[in-house]
Amino acid sequence: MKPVEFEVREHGAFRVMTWRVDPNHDSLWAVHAGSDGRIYFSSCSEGRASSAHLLRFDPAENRLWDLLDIGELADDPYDSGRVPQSKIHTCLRETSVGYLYGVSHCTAPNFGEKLFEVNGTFGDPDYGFRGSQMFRVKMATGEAEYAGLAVPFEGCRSMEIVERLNKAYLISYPRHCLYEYDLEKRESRLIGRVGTWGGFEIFSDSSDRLYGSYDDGRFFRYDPARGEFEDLAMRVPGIPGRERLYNFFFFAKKFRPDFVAATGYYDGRLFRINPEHGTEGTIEDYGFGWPWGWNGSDWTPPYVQSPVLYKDKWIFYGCNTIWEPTQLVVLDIKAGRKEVLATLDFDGNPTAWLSEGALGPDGETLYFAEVNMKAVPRLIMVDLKSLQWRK
Amino acid sequence: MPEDDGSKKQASGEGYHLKESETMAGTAEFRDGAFAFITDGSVALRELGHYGAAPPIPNGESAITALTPGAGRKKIYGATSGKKSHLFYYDPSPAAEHVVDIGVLGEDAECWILAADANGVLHGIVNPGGRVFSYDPRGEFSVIWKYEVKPIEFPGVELGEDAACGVVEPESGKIYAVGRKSSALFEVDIRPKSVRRLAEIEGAGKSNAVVLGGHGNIFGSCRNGHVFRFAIASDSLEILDLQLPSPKGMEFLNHLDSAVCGEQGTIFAGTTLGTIFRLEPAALKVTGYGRPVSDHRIRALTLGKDGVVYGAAGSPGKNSHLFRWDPRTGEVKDLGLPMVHFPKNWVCYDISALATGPNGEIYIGESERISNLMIYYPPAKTAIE
Repeated sequence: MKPVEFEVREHGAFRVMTWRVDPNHDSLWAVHAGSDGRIYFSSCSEGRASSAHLLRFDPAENRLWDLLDIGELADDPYDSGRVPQSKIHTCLRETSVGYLYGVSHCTAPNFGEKLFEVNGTFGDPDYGFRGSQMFRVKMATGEAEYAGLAVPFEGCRSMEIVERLNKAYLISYPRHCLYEYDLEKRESRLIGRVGTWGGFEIFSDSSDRLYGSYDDGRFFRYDPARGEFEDLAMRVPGIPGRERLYNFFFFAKKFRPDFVAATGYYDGRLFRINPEHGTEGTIEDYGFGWPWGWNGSDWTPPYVQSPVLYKDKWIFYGCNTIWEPTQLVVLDIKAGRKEVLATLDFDGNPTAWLSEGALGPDGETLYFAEVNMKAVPRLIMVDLKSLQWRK
Repeated sequence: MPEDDGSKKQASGEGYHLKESETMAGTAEFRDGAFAFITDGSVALRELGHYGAAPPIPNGESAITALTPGAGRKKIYGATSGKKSHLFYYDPSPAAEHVVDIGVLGEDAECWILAADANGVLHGIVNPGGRVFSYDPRGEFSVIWKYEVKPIEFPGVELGEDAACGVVEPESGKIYAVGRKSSALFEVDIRPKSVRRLAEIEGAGKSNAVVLGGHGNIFGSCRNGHVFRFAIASDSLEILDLQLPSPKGMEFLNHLDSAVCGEQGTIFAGTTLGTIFRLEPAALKVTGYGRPVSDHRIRALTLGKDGVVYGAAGSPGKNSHLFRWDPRTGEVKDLGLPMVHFPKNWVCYDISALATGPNGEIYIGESERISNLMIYYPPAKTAIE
């Protein structure tokens, strides 16, 4: 655990934090508001070889800490020639006994290379990705510990932990298989494939059953206790006639057991999943995330990103057409009203993507893991006390 | 922390625009240097049934582990493994063009052995226990809105252990199978319901293939990767002074993984260590062609109608690549991973079976929890005048 110098620039209700733990880092992909009042986030790279770091921001002390370098922790250095441990995707999960677990992912090229292709190098001992490396941090001390290889040869973009079983459940990339990882025995087991392109996110209900969606938006549920999959009638909301391709959910974030906010990849919708309602759960569709809907000709409506539920009344989220600057939007759930609050374009560097959002311990600050147009790792903070929107 | 100078060349100014990154899959650079999917020829996908007329084989029961052409190659028959093992056919006729689930072969079962005899009757073995079944498709009927199947017969014959591999003798319909545990070669005949233990062949139970090599001989592999020959007429076994091509010093780990026999009697085969070779049964000569990919396993082979052998290389759980092997020129080409975007977006990562269709198309049996029948169409080779 090392202190990190950082800079915060203020832009009205927005603050933008930058730091430098690795010159090859270019993006942020995970952010988690810990029960200890601290903000945990991953500094990563997509375009250059690196090892992802887990950082911790202590708002009360205004200090930033470098908790781990996953490549170093897993003895899998970024310049090994293999696909590096360059990313920690939206896979930070806190347990009731004060640990924060996470797992690595792959997206950056081999050291010294420009191209990245995990399929071509798959399983190659000299060039391929070794797999998703699990770590955990004791939140009380910040001490990081290596927790084993959770998924061989593949990255991971979504994880849930079932504490009752002391097991993690992970969706692999690129093969989109559900894996079970025994946190005590450190044994990984393939459960089965769930998709090809999407369907890479899972969340759990209060009975520890896991929910995911196939590429075409049909929901499945996996019960770890029984070891059984169920195909559900529930579907990701979408535009009629576009069901077959890509309409899986992503950005699923559980704010209450009965409120999982999620978005649709292909059809740009924002919705609530209530896995506690009825036998299968239900969906409350809030429609297109973009207030002006879909123009009917673009491949997708604008993407909806990183929803954060606020006071059970509003959902803040990002929304953009790919490679256009991201807008911060708020949905008034009851009124059904969507309001664009700001274009996220700070210091001449527009936001390209918000990867994950969280509400801070003060209950008034949003934290967003950001990917921007100029490859600068930044944490975006939004002060809701000073942000103006129609309340 | 040193900067990654090599890939940083793409950067400009204070940072590089991710939109312009050459890592992106859509760029020409990516297509040229890092595209792992089949580009030589084209690929199609058929789900294992369709809602309405032909109920799909469920996920978890759909891993295709055996494929074989039916009589006249008019249909492709297959078997799955999983929570239930299914027998199915694919009817490529434009009037049908669908997969039909014929029936269940067993629960928590797997089927790796399936082939048609000279009358088009299918014979196979399903594990556990090496249970023998047969299916006479005569009288079958299939159009897009309707189908009829015939009953699967279980004559009550079994090996008493899991079958490792087997082959159907076309004229007699007898199955010659190797027991996984005993390494014994069995002769199974369903008409008198007999199972005859022909010989124990040390190491044969670790192999995944035996092949009929013409002149009534069965070829397979045994201890230290040696080739055995069993003459059906004389019930005689020979361990030949021939070894499967192997990385030196790993011969003891090398077993026959897949094999097909050409019309001239030449055997084309692959090994568990990922090498491919041809065996001339008359001259008893083995010629190795190396490894199509850097991984182990040659999990399936089929003879194309273009004189080319098509194969699937790669270990389960890693990526299976389709490859092409032209015995006339010796060229071996890694074709890559099968991928389609319609009727759904799908990459086939695990291949356990291959078969050749009536028009030279190659049927690919995917073998995961969610599996499809993929079809590879080799590129046209006829020059346009």
